[in-house]
Amino acid sequence: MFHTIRKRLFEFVMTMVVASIVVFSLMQLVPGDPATIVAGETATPERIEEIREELGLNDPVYVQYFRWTGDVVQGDLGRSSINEQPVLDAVLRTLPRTIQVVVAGLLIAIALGVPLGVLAAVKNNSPTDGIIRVLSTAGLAIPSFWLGLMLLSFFALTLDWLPATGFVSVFDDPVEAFKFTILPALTIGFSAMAAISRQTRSAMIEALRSDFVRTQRAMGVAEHSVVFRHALKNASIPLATVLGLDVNRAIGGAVVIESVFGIAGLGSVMVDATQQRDFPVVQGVILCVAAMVVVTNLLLDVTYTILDPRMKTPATA
Amino acid sequence: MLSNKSKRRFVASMLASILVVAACGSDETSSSGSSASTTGGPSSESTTGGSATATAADGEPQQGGILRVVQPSNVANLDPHIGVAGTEHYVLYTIFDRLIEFEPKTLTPEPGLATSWSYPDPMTLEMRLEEGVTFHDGTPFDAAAVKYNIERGLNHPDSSIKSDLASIDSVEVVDDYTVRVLLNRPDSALPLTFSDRAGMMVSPTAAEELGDEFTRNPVGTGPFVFESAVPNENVTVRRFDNYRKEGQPYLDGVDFSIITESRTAANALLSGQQDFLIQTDVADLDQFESSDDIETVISPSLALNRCSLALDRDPFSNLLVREAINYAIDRDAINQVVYGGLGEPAAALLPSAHWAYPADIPIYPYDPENAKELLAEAGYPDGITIETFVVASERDRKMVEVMQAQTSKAGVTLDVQVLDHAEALPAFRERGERDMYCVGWSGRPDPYQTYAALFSSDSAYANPYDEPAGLADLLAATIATDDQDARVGAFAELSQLAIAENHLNLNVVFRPGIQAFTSSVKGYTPNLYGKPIVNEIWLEE
Repeated sequence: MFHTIRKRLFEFVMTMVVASIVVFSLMQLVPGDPATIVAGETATPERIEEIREELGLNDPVYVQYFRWTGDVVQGDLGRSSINEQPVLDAVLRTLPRTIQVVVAGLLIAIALGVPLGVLAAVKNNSPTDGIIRVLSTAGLAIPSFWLGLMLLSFFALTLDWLPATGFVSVFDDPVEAFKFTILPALTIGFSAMAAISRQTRSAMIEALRSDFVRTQRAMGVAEHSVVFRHALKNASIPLATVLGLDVNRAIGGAVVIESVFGIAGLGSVMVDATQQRDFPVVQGVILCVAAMVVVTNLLLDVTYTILDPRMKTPATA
Repeated sequence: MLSNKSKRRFVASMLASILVVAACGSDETSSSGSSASTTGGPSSESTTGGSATATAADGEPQQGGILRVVQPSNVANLDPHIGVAGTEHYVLYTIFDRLIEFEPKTLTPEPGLATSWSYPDPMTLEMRLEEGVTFHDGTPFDAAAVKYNIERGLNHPDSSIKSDLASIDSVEVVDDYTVRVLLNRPDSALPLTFSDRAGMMVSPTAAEELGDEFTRNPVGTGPFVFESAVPNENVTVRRFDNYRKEGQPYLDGVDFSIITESRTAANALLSGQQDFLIQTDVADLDQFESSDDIETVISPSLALNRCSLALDRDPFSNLLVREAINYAIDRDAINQVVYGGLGEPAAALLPSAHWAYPADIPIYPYDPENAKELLAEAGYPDGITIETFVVASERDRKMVEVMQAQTSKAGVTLDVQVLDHAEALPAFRERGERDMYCVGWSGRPDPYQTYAALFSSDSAYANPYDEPAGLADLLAATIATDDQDARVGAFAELSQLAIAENHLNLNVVFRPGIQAFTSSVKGYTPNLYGKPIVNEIWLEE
């Protein structure tokens, strides 16, 4: 157990180091000078040079990199070059919003995707299966911003049931939070649902065809018990993998969804910062997202070992 | 089921959402004024969907209520002397009064904190100040405060208004309510310069005490007191009870929400979550028209869609090529495509509503044959390829796409590269890449500032080039006198030389200012500067 944790921790650190190098190099490759933007359009070349110096942009790239990572290790993600707010503040303020929307979206995806997938597998090649397959294909094919706009137009503007834009935290007011979160969550959840139901379906079909299921059926085990207690448990490992991918995809997709629903989340911070060449913010945000993805995968690994005892690392390797 | 109106609205929003792909490229975000709020100005004013135009017809003002305003881009800096984004003005106007204001329709100067001003001689500007005014922190507003502000603008290391104040030598306090500004050259552009950032008066006490923190706790004499700001999210201001104008402001406060996506902002207005949109896309107008609860005001503005020509090198150092490209585009058609015909085709740098509009400068007709002949005469009988940058904004890109089709008929191929302003500006200006850079010009309160920036060889916006003979003298003549008629004449002469004779610009179309708001919003007056001021709005129950 100790060994596993140590190994995972080492992997985590290495991944973050690689991520930080990639993020930093990307920023160097992005054309456009942050100092030009900070200085404004009437600035003289001298003023731009001054700002470049102030922001430390004239130092060699490796000096800039180690200065940045040195601060990051101490928990300081730096300050925005545009408005000087600490990057960590921006992340801590906006990340919970993104998480709320993404988690709600994934809950919807699981709540709909798994039953649909099981149903499709049990009724394999029936009209029900066909309808579910069409639905999940649509989920994968429909662009999420378009779906978001459709939901918004219908539920918020035409029917006036739900707010069109904005955000309320679930910890401030759960009822209001539900109203504000449901549409963006549905938007994110729909495509994730599609992936989950497809994966569930194929994994379930395989499980239901396997020898142990045939044996159980022959022994007279009740069908619902066969499906839900035994087959589904076997099908859940590939499902966990898909879910892990969906989490990562949903975090990325949140950028678009936040823009459609006017949610000031992590995605909108990143888009604004990128457009304004606010490098400290972009770097900080991407690093946080990378950390989230790595942590998700870590949790996923733990889930595997729970779902499949064979994956437990032996105490003495 | 759905009412007809609801259906219509639904269909409209479905159609609009298809357009959103295009709208996704945000064009209001860059922090530098010109790439941000670029374009335009129409010549018509109208309201759609709702009842009457703002102002007089709105009846007796009512007190109270919070106005919820959609601010179209981030507010990075609330220090008027340091910030650079033209889109910050909407918030700054609520907190800071200006020394001099402008008449909204023509932009002639009007009294603000300065009740009157005069030039006893061309090198001296004297201003008489309103008495009994205090800043939000209780500091009295007087001649010493004005002196402090002007000196701050000149000397603060991060000042963004140094060049606006470049003609000022020193400031003298004559008495408590009279200041004398001594100049190093005649400059009659100063009054209108003081209607912008440079004239926004900050509290000397607060500015001294807070230093760099002033931007997070701005203090002025304006109708609203700063309350809070969250970067990229919102700014809130609340009523200043001791405001210098009796009975004003009518509102208890203004909540600015930053929503950069115009479609999202429109949805927020349609659903009743917001009251007032600072700037609306032409594409959203249909949807607002079908709503009884929403009014729109369309007005001309100074903001201009245009292309800077690289005058210092081939091919645009050649006058004939410059003339040819001006005949090779169809400004009316561009206005139709980009602004639904609501903008105003441009030849000069000012729209027709402006006090200094040079009425004698004709708008180039679309004449590809003439352009071809001019090119042949210039030594390009087989046509020419113009390497073009266009700023990554939806409107400018659309404009250049239309231009491509039009110029091809004149044998001009536009080879276009789309870039962010942050990349394109240094590439075009410093590294001398490409022949032409299409980026909007947001306008300046005094026309001299615009003419000097876009024509003068030593401007920060152009590379040094061989100015047409006499240009510098004509430019100087526009600020040599404060007599308005004489200035109008000077601008006309300057335009004649720079545009009609030398074709120094490729000016295309003025952007229409379009504001949309709920029908309870009353008392709003649009202005030609194109930067809406919400201070005198009131809300009807």
